[in-house]
Amino acid sequence: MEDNKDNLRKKVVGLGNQSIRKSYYADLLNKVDELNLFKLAIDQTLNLVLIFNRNSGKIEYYNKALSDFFSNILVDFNPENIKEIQSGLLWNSIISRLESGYLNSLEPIVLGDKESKTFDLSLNVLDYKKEEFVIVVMRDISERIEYEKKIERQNQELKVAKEKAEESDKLKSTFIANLSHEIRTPMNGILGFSSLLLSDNNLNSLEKEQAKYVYESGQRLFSLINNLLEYSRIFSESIILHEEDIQLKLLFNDLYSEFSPLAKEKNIELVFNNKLISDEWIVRCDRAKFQHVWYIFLDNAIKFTDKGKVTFGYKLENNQPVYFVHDTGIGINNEDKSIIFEQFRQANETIAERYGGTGLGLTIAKAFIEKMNGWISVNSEPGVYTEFTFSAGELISTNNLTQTVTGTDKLWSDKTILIAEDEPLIFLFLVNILEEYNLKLIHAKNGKEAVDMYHKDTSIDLILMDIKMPIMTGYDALNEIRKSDTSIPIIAQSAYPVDLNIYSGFNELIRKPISKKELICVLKKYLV
Amino acid sequence: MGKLPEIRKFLAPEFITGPDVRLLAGQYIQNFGINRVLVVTDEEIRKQFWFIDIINNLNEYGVEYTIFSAVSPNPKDIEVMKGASIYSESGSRGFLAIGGGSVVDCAKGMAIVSTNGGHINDYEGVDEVKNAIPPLICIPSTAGTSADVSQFSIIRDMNRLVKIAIISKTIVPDVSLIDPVTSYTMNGYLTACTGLDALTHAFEAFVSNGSSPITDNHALHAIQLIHTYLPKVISNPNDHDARYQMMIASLEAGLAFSNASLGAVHAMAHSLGGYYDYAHGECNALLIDHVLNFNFDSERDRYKKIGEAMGLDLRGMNSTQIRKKLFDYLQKFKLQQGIDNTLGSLGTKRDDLYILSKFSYGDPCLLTNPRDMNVDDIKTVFSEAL
Repeated sequence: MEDNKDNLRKKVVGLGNQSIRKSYYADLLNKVDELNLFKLAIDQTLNLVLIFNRNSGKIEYYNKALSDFFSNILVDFNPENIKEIQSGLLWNSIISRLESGYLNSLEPIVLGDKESKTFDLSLNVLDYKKEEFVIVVMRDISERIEYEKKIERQNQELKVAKEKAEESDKLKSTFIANLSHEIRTPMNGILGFSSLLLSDNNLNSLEKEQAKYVYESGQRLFSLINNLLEYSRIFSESIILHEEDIQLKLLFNDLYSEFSPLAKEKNIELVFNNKLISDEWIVRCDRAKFQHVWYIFLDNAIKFTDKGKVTFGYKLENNQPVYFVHDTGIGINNEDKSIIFEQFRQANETIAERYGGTGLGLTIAKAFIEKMNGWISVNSEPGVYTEFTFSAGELISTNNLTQTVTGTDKLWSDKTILIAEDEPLIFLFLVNILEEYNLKLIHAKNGKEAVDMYHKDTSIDLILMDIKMPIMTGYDALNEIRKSDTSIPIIAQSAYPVDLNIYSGFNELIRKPISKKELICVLKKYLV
Repeated sequence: MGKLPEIRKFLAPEFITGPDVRLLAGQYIQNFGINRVLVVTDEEIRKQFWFIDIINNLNEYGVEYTIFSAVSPNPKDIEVMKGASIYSESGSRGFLAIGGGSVVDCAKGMAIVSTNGGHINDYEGVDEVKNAIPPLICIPSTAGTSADVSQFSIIRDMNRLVKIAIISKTIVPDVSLIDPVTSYTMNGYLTACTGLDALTHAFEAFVSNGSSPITDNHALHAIQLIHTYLPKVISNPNDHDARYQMMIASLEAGLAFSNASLGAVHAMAHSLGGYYDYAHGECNALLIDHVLNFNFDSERDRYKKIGEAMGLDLRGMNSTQIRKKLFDYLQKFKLQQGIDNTLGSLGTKRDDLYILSKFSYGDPCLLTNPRDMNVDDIKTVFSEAL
């Protein structure tokens, strides 16, 4: 559209509405506004910002945070060159970083005269108007460093506490182990010799009666002590499983013979109910613990039944054995079903009074079963029956037995056994058990003697090695002997909680108190 | 034999003359990129119809404004400082001065402080203002002090009770919108005082030892216009053409004195205003004739030209006669415009003359007076005006 003449004339004489002389002014104002905004932003940030000429060190800009940090009441902070700041400390740090090329090194820098603080330093170099400028941004990480130090200290404290707890744990374990040994040794005496007495046919019926009483009392005491020890162990260390292959039939035979006297005494019937087709079922689990679980259930069943019968056995569910103990006893109320498994708990005070017990049995049974990846359940009708069912371990359906009970060759008159045992009572017991087998027995009272005797007498066929012995432990003795002889059977015998990993090198492990049966089984295995 | 011409400079703002040019305010402010102005004015002017027009104009252009109207006839340093702080607090980016010389001078003072900091009294003297001021747009309402085109700002120092003169190129406004409509509402007294002020400007610029051919033209033309149109305006305030001519006259007088500077009349008027707070225009009127007497022999030819510009027939007269004729004419002229006071009748005391003279002696305006004056000379002229 053409400007008409009037309009144009108006513009010529400078009266057009766009006749502006210094038109840059509006733009200038905008730029000033922008600049002010940026300056405001940089001034309000808590980070220290500094821009300087790389070559000369001349400062172009620093923000309020930096000024506040370095100002003090004595001297005005007004540096023109970065070399003036803290006598060149900042300049030196920056230049060395620039030269090394690690502009954003993670290493912090410590600054400040009146108050020292730690900063994260970040650098950027840029070209502007043919010169190089360095932009420095420093973030105060003093608090973070303090925090990290605090966490470090806390971790240290935790570490120390942990070590102390572990040590305390170890002490407890050692205490329990010691206690276990101290108790088992005399128990071995009581049980061992009273059982020998029982099998002595030269006793009259009264004497037999008395011996039986000793034996049974011993059993009860032993069971109680075991429970206590197991309980202590459960709650001071983790349960360690030592897996073995167990022939169920044999185990149940033992249980039956173990508990039928007790049942007979109370005039109740003890029934072993086996619903399995084959007798040769093998289960892999921790023998001692499995056995202990059965002891607890059977003991309880008989204890709480006044008339009728106690039936126990195993059945197959989904191709796995499920064990059960059924009694016709006083039963358990519904509400009590869960609490009976709690430590120290019995169903009620009356039960506790009438029946005694520590309330630990089922707790231990549950802990062991669960460790063996099993489950427990209970069904009951008060006054009618109680049935505990549980599973444990793994069924290995094989006929290969690690233990054979075939063969009754009792004559080892040509065999020599070295018994390393520091307890005379135990040695005596062993001598008694083994008497009928006509073995030659050599006695070493400690590990060192054992090693010496081994080297001296080449006719030794087997070594029965106690673990805890003075001067040299059974373990060390084992290692010594194994250096030169890897084939001689060495059987470990120990009252202590056992870590089989430590005992590798031994061929077998027999737990104290030693059962004659078990010992003979093992000997049969190795004295062929 | 003519001597070589002296070096002279001439500086003026952009000025737009004509009826209703006050309504260009919004446009000019916008073109500066300013979104908020400080409007400096006084209480009387705020009430005028033409003032409200300007405010509406600002609103039309979306210009935000804060109004400062606490300006007294002889603007005080405290008013300047107050205005300056309001300027920065309000986030204003420019000034719009609407009113007479006091308003414009006050606005200039605020502008100085806004970009130079400190106190306005620090800037007394010549070239003491270092930093440029923000955009300053003026709409004069008198004819007039012409501060809207000048490099001067006169502020009253309330501690010493003197008027200080601030002279700097940096305070020449950016734009002056010279709208005769704004002068329509002046009363007779104000019209007379400001008219005489303009006349004094023209007189002093013409005989100033800093005059130049350019300033001379404007000065003489101003004298011609004032002597013709001031009486018309006094007798008929609604003579719009006369009002217009007076604005032009004032403008020209302003262009002249801004660049050639002034003389003894203003030096002495400043100390009177500072001390007694008399109206500036009136002070000039009471002194112009007496100073002419004193100065006459130093610039006889120029005074003669002034006489001729005022329509006096001075043919065949000798200098003494011319001087007397001029003196008498001025006295009559003053009375004709309604100014009949003397310094004495205003309340000036003979005892104060010495101190007044001392102040006047320090005024930079004295530097360009055609004749050197010492304190005694000044005192003598003061006493004649009593």
